[in-house]
Amino acid sequence: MDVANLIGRWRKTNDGSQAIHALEINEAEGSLVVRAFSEGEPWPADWDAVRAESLYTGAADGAAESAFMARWDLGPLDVVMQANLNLGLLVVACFHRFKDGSARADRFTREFFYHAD
Amino acid sequence: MSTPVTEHRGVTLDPSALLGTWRNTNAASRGIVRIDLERAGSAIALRAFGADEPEPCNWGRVPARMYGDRFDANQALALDATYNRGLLEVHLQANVKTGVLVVASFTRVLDGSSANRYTREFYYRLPEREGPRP
Repeated sequence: MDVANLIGRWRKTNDGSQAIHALEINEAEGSLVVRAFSEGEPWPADWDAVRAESLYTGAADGAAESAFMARWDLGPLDVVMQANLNLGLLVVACFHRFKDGSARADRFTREFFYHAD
Repeated sequence: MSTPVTEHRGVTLDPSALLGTWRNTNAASRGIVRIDLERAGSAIALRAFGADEPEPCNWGRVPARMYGDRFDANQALALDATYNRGLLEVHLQANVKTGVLVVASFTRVLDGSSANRYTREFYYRLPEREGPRP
């Protein structure tokens, strides 16, 4: 499995952060490890590192992994991240699901990141 | 296969921007060619049709969870849903953007016999009179 194209630090392409402003992606013991950083409520500044649940390829030959899913339990909400590479950008969709009984709607965000290494 | 539709706890979002019959903009797609989204109580249900001959394959009805674009939203503009199709687990994420339903599909091959696949496809909404047939 080749995850080299996903490894590294990723920064958001614009200043108007929806949820995440940076990502760190590393490989550890054959798994992809993802760490996200936010500014502002309801997210913590550092989401901590989690292992990607699964990797996906968009290529017919499956030569390189180009997408992943990861999941965080952030206390009042769960976040499912589905990210894919597209033309050198990392496109990150997040599904924010509240479980704290608050009157906040579950939210979808899609943000774009460039490779900052 | 079909799964009972369930409602999710939390704020109830207006699903009207998502409802209807959506057709793939790529007539040659070998993935999902049509998606039906309908009300199920205060929630919604999704039915996908995969490319097949002589007719598209009905994957069955599954619950879909709705999302807004803000925490104070009252309009649903995105959803996710999961199909368990034997050895394939298919996660669908979709959002409406400028009238187009953008659908990312993450297919996990549970026995590892081939690579997990990711696709993104685009769908337009049919006028109501061209909606799903009984």
